[in-house]
Parts: sequence; structure tokens; C-alpha cells
Amino acid sequence: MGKALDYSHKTDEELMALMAAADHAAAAALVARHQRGLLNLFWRYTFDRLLAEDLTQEVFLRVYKSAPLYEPRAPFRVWLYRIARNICFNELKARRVRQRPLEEPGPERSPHEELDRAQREQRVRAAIEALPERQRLALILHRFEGLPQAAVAEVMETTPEAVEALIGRAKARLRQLLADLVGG
Amino acid sequence: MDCNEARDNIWRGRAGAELADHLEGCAACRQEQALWGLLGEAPALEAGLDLSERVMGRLKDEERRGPWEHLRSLLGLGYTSTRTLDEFSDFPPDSFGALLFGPVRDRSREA
Repeated sequence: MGKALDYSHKTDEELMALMAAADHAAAAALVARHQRGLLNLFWRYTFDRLLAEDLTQEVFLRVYKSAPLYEPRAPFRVWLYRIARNICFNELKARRVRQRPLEEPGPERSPHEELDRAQREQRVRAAIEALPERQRLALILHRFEGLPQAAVAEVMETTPEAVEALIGRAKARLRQLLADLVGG
Repeated sequence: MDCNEARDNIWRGRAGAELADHLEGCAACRQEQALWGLLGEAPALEAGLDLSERVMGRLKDEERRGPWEHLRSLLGLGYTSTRTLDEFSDFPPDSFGALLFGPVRDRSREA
């Protein structure tokens, strides 16, 4: 894993080519570069840490298997998130999503602040979970992964206009569900 | 700055005097910003070293399992089928089948 830093100047596409030639350090660099984004994409989609970690591993396994045939027709991140999207839409349904308590408590707070924070997080989490899956994924990619709407459209294999509509509906629903917290 | 521009800035996480001026006079965009901030309160996870190690462990396992496993997963075959394929790999040494499907032999050590 220590060699991962040696590849910091290489593009994702170059790392894929090296990985196809069984270069473990290149694979480690690619994993290090993208694991946090994928982990949090799945985390915010499922709010289940163990499942999010499992699905992150699954994406990298598919990347590894695809490496010998990989052709950079789209930006690597778009291609990577398409794999994640397929897992979200096609395979996640088959798995039982366990309801787990909120994790990662963050900095220390007073009991009152902690309760308030936990309740707000719970509300936000429940609101995100209540969104239809396409709205949820579009919102997560845009709000949390920082993808422009055009890139979200590429990942979701639709038009930027459709993504704008999805995100618009997601925001309207969230405003409705969280009206007392956002001053609606 | 109009509402579209203000909301674009909010969702890109950009701040600035112009946005602040707009927000002061626009309740709808203040609500938009409140929503954006509220979503940000959902905590992110840190990917620990152990996750990297587990991922790399799985990739190395996959590499060790070899090309038949790739074929099996592409065809969606189950474990039983793998066993059948494995049995086919039991070819006599130096046969064409062993050359194609058997374990790689390090001939430099045999010399």
C-alpha cells in the first residue's frame, strides 16, 4: 500500500492500464483515490456502513475484472460511478438493507446538543431514504460527490434536463419533509 | 444576482458578498441554503486503511483464482460448475490441456 503515493501523478486511465498488467501498486493507488467517494455514495444511499463497505469492495472487484477490456470512452469517474449506479439500482434491491443506528459521532458535545444533533441527523437521513431511488442517487452525486449535473447525467445515462428535474423534485420533497428545519 | 444564479452558487458550495446580499432579500433562497446546509449535517464516513487492505485482499484473491473464475462470473455460473471446470484442468503434465489450463510452471527452476 505504501507504493500508492508513487502513482499520485498518474491519471485514472493510466492506473487502469497498469492494473490490467497486474500492477498491485497501481490498483492500490486507484483504490486509495476513489474509495472514500464510493464509500460515502453507498453510505448515503443505504445508511448502512457494513453494506456500504461491502458494496465499495464489489465496485473495485468489477473494476479489476474489467481492467483488461477497459477503454476510456467516458471520464473514469463517470464509468466508475456507473458501476456503482448499477449496483444501487439492480442489485441492492435483492439485499436486505439493515437499519442501523447513526455512526461516526464526531466531536464531543453536551448531552442536549448531542440529542439535538442526533435527531436532526435522523430526520435528514429518513428524508433522504424516503426519496425515490433515481432522485436519491442524483441528489447524492450532485450534493455530496460534487458532480455537475452534466456529469450526473452521464453516470445515470440520461439528459442534463432530466437530472435537473430529478434534483428539483428531490429538493422539493426534502423541503416538504424537513420544512420545520429549513424554515418552510 | 438572480435566484437561479444564487441557487447555483449555493449548490456549488460557493459563498460571497453578492450571494449574501441576495439571501438577505430572498426568503426562498434562504430556505434553499438552509436545506443545503442541513444535508451537509449528515456525517461522511472515513475510509480507513482496513478498507483499503480488504479491497486489495479481495483483488489479490481474485487474481489467484485465475481466468476460469473470470469466465465463471461472466457466465454467471455457480460453484458446482466451477468444480467441473476445475476437474477439466487436471490434465497430464506437458499435455496441450495442461499448457492451456494448468498451473504455470517455472521452467527456469527445472533447468
